[in-house]
Amino acid sequence: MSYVLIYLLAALALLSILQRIIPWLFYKRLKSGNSLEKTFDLFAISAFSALLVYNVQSLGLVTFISLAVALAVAMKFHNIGLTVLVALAVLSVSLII
Amino acid sequence: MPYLGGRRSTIVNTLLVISAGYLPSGIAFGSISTALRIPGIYTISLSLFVYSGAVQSAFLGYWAAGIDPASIILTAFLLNLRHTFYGAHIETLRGDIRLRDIIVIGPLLTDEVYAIAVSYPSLSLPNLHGLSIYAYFNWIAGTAIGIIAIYYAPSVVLNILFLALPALFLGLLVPRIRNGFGLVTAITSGVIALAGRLLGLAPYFLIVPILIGVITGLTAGKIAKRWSE
Repeated sequence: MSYVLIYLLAALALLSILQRIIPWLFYKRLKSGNSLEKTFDLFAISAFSALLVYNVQSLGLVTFISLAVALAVAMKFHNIGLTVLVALAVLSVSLII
Repeated sequence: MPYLGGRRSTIVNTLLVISAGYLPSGIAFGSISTALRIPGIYTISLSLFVYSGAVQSAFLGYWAAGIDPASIILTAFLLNLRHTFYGAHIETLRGDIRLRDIIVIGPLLTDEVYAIAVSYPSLSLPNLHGLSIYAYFNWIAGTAIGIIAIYYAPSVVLNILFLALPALFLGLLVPRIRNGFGLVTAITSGVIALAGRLLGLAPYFLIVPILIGVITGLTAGKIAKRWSE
């Protein structure tokens, strides 16, 4: 398993660097490519939405309430750290009650 | 010293915004990763070498759902495709970028650094270098703090922390939904993923709601454009 992780990490690192540098080197005079950016934005939205659902451990009421409050915070402040903190705080309070 | 457009307060604000965004997210990533029993060396290596909140979060998602290397590489490739246009866009805004600058800034080019670079075209190259390195160290420091902090937390905290992962995706998702097409994409993908979970489908099914979500969002956009014409 550790070898799989090492290879995976190396592949992700290489991919990460190449995707940032190579296009910049080859398309130095390219304009922003706005239409494709929109497609990639939609991909990110779709991926995060699916990953959100897949990583909820239990589909109970307490989880739902915690995520609903976190959603309100995310919509208001657009802050990832604060969203996570609020979700955990609401879940903690719910468990105590 | 040449600050952003000569305004010292602007660069101080920018540094604070970067720290406010990167430190908590790094801490969340480090602690969630450790809670998911990913060894610390891999966690810190992900932040050091991959340096992409989206890809690293996706990695955690795949790890938790049962890792599938091919799917995560494909997801990472598609998630980072937007970076393809970042450097080119910066290049069009300033004509003083040399190969050495691309080599230095390129690997550290994130959504935030890109946003600052295009929002402040007057930003000097040394300051752009400094800003990208500052963001990078914030991310590494946040990850390290998260890894260490989790060891001092009681077991009940670990159970609570499992909600941090979906909350993290929620925090990443919401700011990206800026119009109806984004909302349609998120709902479609989420509903299909939920159906997949309820039906007990294998983890590799995850790529299906993602792709269907994108296709639905693009189709909705085209239909809306035709109607408006």
